[in-house]
Amino acid sequence: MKEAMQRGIHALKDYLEENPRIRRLIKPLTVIIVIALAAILIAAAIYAYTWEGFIVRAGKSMVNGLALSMLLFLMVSGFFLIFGLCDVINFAHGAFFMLGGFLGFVIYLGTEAVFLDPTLPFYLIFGANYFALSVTAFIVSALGATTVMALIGGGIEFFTIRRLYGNPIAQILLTVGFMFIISQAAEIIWGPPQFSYFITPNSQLGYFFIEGVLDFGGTLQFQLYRIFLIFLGLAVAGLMFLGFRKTRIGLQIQAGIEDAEMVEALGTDIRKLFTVVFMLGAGLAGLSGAVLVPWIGASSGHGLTYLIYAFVIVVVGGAHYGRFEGTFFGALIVGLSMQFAAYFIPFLENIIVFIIMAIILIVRPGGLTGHE
Amino acid sequence: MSNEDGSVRESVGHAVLGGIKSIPSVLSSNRTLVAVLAFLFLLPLGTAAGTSPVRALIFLFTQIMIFGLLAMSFDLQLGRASILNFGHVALFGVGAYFMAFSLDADLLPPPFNLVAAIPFPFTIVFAMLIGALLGFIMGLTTSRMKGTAFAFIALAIAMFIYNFFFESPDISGGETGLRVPTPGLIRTAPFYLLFVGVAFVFLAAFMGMVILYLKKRTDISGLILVTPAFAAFTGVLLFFGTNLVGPILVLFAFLGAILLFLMERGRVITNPIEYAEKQEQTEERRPTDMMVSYGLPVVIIVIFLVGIVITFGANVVQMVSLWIEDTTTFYYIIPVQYYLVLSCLVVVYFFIRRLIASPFGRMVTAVAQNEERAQALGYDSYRAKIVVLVISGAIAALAGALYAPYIRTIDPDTALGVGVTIDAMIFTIIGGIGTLFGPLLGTALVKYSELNLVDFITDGLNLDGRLWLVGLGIMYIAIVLFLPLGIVGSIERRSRSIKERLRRLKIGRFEFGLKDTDYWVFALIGIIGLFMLLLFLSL
Repeated sequence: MKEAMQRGIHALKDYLEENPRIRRLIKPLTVIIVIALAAILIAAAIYAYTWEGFIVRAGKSMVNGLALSMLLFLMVSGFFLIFGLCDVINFAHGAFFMLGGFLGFVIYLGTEAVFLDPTLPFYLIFGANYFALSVTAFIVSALGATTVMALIGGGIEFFTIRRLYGNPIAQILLTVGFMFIISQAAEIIWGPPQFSYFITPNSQLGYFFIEGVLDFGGTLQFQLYRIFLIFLGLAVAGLMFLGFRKTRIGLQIQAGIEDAEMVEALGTDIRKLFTVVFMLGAGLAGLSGAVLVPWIGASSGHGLTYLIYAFVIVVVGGAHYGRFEGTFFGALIVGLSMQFAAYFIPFLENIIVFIIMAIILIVRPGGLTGHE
Repeated sequence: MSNEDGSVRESVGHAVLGGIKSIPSVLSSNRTLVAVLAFLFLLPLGTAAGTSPVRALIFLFTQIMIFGLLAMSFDLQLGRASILNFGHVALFGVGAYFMAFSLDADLLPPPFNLVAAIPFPFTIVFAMLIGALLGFIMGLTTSRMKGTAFAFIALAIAMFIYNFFFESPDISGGETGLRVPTPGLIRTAPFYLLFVGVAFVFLAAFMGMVILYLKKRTDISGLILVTPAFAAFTGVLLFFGTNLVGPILVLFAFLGAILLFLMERGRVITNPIEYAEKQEQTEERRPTDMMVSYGLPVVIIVIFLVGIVITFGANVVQMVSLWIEDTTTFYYIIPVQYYLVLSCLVVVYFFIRRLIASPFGRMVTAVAQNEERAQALGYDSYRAKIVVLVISGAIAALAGALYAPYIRTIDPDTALGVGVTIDAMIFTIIGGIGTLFGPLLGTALVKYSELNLVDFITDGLNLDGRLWLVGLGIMYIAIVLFLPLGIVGSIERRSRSIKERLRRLKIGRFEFGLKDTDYWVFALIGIIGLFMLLLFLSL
């Protein structure tokens, strides 16, 4: 049967080879088919939810999807860098993300308490401007979580993973061990996965996360926090993009992903790069975890769930010799498709990611940007 | 016509005779396995009826063996064919759910609930077929997906199945889980007696192996090595048996074996000149020869088996009479399940060993090491990978099919969650990939620590019991840092120097001269000692 299939494919290829005019038609044809399919889907959605409902749902899923994909991108870019440069499948990455969430939660509450304390000078700065206060505390918490996670990631690389380069199987076991340790430590300190911690109910003021709303009339409201997430994600992505293009260390990392041995032969201390990349990756995971606490909460069960998303996005974007942009678009695809499915076809919410991944891998086995 | 028939019969007779003749060599080349298996098959006999602490251990062993099967199937992919598969759990879960559906007709909607019409032992075969089919589907993607890409496409397949079951709680049981009834056959005494018969075959094989060993190892260190094994074995019988007569008979059998050893020793020719003299006498010595090589061993084996029957006869009779009294509420299923799983494990173990040694296994290894070169040499790497995935899928589904009735409640997370894949991966890596025994050892180590670490941390170290997973993580990290190839893998790498040192082992002036053929003694004493230790720890 396989032979028959191959023969059919060969015959088709030969035919296209002989008829360049038809071959040239294929690309626009696929684009047209995709657009037609999308139009049919949109028409069906409008028919099912009415125009008004469709606009609200589409707007919400667009904003939520963008916000989610930016944050997924922040988390996954670390995973991608570690996988691309060091060839380590970091099973502990989801745990880093989860721990970042808890750190962000704790630091936010602490900072807020300090800012609100009348005996301390911070009280004078903010005065009654609670909105600015909570935004500042949020930013402090994100930075704090990033720093702590970067130190933890760097420490793990320096003391353990460093001994095991070139033995991918042992690295899996090692990172799984760290995943267990981190998630169980979080469970002991903060409780089992059934408890999720959100900043809003625990905080003394919820100005930023609840009352900050952009109103476009009717039911078309967007939370300011989600918009902030989008811009934060875009800003970090832009910074990283610039960093990889313009700075020396960024170029070295990019080159190391392509060919680590050659970079080492050219005189770069690649071991130092590995540590830097681990710190960067863990720090980014911590940042995204901390920033996402008001939305998805901090829970010790997040480790495994988001690890799988990291897998999917990296594979979609191009794992082997892939490019940084691939991960960005992979995150966009995953985040948007998840949110659109959640608003329009709830049954598919958890499966759609894997369907898309399967389709992309079948069309391009190396992912969007990777080699086969 | 008749002539052909006769020749066929003759050839069948030859084959049977050849099979019987090859038994001694098979036994001699698998000494360690035969000894360990004889002990493992003997265990449930000691606990047949009533409750006993051994029963809890046997229950644990069953779980270890089920997950050992899963780890072995994972290792077949990772260790032999270099296929990293993050979706392995799908193969396991499909088997488990098929078993659950086939045991309860009310679960599936009408056209599909016909699977419940299949009688129990065949459902295992069907579950394996389904696993093989899923493995085949996964294998089809390997033509384009190499390395990590395959791992993730398999993960996608597994997550797809998981989410399908998770979203349809009426067939999967949802978060509360699905109750799996115990198959009727497991509750019948004849099924148990069948396995008891198998156990006696293994015990006879064990005794035959010991006799062959003693006849071959005619220097004094053979006797010194065998005596503690005899003592340990008789001790086990005394400990678990219900009467004294049986162990005494077994002891007589062992004394007979020693007598055989002495007779054999008297005939050994060390001086080449003597050899010629003895050669002349062979004609006269024939009757004693027959006696020593066939008569005495058979008598010894019969005495041994009778001794064991007398030791454990009461248990078996009690078990059967319980079933005859009340066939509906017969609930002593733990030994039966243990036997079922153990038999499956033995079959799979020998199958994988045979497969690896076969030309196909060599080809798979070649493909795993350098795919392009193997293809250039004319091997079809695509087909090799598909076949490996099909076989491994069947074994994983077998593990699932045994797991569902064992654990009695399955839900999408325990049967299809990613955690199971990670578990299988950890078992394999800890034991050592690409080794046959490694996955089993890794499973035993991790499963036992999972179940007992909490007690150890709370009672032994006076710490918070929830730290057990942290302890497990630290154990993984320590194993990775100090034994990067896994336990069995790292030991195998050093095995030559260890063997060399053992060969030169001396106590005082006496040289043991340990060889490969002697290791079964240590394996047997080791597993008996380990079992006793676990028993006392769990009391």
